Amino acid sequence: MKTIADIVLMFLILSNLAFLGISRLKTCIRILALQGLSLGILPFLIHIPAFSYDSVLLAVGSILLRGLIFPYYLEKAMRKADVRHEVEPFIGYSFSILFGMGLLFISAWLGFRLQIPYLLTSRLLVPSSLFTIMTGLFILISRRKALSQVIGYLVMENGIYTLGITLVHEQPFIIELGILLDIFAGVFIMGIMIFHISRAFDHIDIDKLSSLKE
Amino acid sequence: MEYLLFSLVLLFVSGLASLFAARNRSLSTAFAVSGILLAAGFGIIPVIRCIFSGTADMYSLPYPIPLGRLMIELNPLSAFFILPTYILAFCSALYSYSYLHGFKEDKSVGAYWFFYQILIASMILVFLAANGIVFLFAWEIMTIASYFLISFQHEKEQTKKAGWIYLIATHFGTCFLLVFFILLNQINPDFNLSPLTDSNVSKIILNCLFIFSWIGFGIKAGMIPFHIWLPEAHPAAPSPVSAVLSGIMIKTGIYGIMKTLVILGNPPVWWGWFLIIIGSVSGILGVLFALAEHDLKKLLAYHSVENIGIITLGLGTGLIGLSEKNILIASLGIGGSLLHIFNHAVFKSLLFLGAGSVYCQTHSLDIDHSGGLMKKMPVTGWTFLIGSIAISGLPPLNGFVSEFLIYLASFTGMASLSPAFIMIFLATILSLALIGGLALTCFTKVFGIMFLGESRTHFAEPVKESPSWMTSPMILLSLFCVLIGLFAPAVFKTLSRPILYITGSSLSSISDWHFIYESLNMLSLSCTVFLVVLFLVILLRRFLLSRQPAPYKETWGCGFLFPSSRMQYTASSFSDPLKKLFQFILRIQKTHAIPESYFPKEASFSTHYNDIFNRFFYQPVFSKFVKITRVFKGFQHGMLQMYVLYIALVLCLLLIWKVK
Repeated sequence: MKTIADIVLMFLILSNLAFLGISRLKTCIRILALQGLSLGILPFLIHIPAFSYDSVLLAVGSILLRGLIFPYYLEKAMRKADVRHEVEPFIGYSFSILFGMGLLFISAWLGFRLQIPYLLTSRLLVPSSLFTIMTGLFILISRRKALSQVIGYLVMENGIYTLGITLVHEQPFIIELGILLDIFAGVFIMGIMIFHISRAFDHIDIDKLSSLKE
Repeated sequence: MEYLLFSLVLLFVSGLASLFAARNRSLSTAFAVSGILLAAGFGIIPVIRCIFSGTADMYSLPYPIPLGRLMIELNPLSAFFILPTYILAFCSALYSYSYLHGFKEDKSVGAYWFFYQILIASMILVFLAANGIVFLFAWEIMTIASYFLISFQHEKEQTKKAGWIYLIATHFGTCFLLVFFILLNQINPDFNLSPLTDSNVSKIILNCLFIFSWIGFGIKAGMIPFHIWLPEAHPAAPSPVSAVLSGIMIKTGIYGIMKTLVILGNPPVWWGWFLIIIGSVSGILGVLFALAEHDLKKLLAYHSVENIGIITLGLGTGLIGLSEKNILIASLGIGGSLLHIFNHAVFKSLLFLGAGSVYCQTHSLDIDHSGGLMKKMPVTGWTFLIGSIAISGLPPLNGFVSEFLIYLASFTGMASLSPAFIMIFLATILSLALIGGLALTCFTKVFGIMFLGESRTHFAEPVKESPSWMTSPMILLSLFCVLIGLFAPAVFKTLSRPILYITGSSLSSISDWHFIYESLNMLSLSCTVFLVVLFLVILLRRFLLSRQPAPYKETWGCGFLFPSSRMQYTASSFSDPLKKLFQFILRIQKTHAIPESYFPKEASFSTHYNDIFNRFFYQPVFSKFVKITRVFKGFQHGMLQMYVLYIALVLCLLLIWKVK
């Protein structure tokens, strides 16, 4: 179990780096779907009684929403809004990856120093989840398109989810499920919004939308 | 208790129903009004039972919320506040039915009803809360619901501004309440709102708690110097909303202070002194500001400040009685204060409803524009007259009874306590007398100018009486005014449980109360005699004048050839002598153009009143604040990515700082 969990977490870290370096939106969405699927099986791998009622529910919900429904909506929004395929970052791809390495370093340092009061299945859990959160934030900050903002938001949420199931002994599953529901509503609304914005303004660039404020 | 919970749920559900039925105006209103009627019917049963039996009923929801438990409690004090809430909610809802017809078709009635029901439900929850977190939660819902109701006509710039002022003021208060509850949690664990059990808490903490509750709750209650939101918000809100806000919502502040006193117990003497001073300042300044106002609803708002002052005065005398262990003075003062809360709820909402009824017909709230309404709107006129008499504290109506109790408390205090207290009780009596006199002048002005004489302006549509949906709540409320005045002893008996709850004394002390009952019996007897004599005199006058016709003619205009109805006494000229006397406080600004030469073309005169607290304190302070904060404007550029960057940086720094 531990080795499989480590493999999943390694995949998480690599996919985060991939988000920073890939220029095509569609590929980003595909990777997001893969990340969601792999995170879905994580509850079985890191919990000691592997198949409890709660973890099955969480895993099924997670796989369905993160792995299938969110990517589906995002692609649909992309198609409908007729977005150009590039991510259009403020910060270049190679520099982004370098920055990502820095973030990985910081989160590894933080994660290994953070005192977790109970035994973890894998030592990689905390660093990788912190790294995912930071990557999500970085995408939010450095990308221009509204659609990539949504991706950044989802990546960040994946990180929070990973951290959440790490600490699940303390946190009821019901909260995790609640968060999942929230995000579902959020993505749903964003899909509609992006479509409407692009129809009204012919683009979905965040930095140009800021001229709309009062 | 289950009835009350059911009533809250009913309010919420009917609010939602009318929100969804917003397309169909009459359906939406029907949902809301029937919801309120049912909710009041269910809710009032346990409330009345609690007021008479005095047993507290605790209910704690099993669901664990962070920081304490979800607990609500129906005790005599909260029951006493919930009773007028239901009555007013029902009256204003009936009234709103007609009032909302005045708005254009595209105005959403559903939103109005939804927030109205939420406001009523949250106020009841505030009164029920037995846990600090539940209290704050209900308090904030109440604030937000009332904000939406105040800015119902948000298309007007003035209304938008008023809503903002209200929101800022009340959140400023919540800041203090937050500190208050955290501090209280130190000495009363689990955010419980039950009386303190630990008797050796340091004096400093108790005094801090008292001061924080005074500021936090005082802002909501509209005590001077925290009153500035009242004269802004009331004119902006629709009239039935003003009635509920002024009738009940500002009383939640008073409830908070009373609850604090119950929690802290054994007040030191200076709290009483402090409240008396604050009360008399609020009362006198409130009524003086009202005297300077021409806008009817602003004037009524300042009268709310005044009446909060009277309530605080009563509470202050009661506290002095409590700290001196004199139960008679304590129960008289607190009883007067409680009764005035109920009375003010009744007559002030009556007056606001009257103002709304006038506004619906004349579309103006300036006192100097109307005139002669008594002939055209007799029901509004008579009920407004009853409200005016009641608010001025004249016998035989209810306002007199509560002020009488406070007078009685002060006189008893002067007679039976040590000479050190004579000054403060004398101050109470004098300021009550001054407030009463000035209020009488002010309402003579309002009633005389608006309802008597002739119409000063020509209105586009003929003015007629409002529909009975609007007049019947007003008649109901004025009946309350009369009945409380006539049955004062019985009313005081119903007050006994809440008074005992606040004073924390047992039933045995009621035996000292025969003095109160004797005085009140005399009072109601003389009121009844007065009314009977008055009635007989009116009959006699009718009889004597029935033979002579009463023709309708112009007043002799001193030989002036072209008299017009504008040449009547105005509100400002009526109150001018008093305004001159108090000019050193009021600082009214006058602008005039004096007619010149033998054939003058034009002349004008106008007075402008700007609240002195606003002009000399809040405006300078806030403009300074804006200047200082301009430095930070560079960070506020509207780029979403940069905002996220700020958050990310702070998070990272916090994490690193903590882990290191």
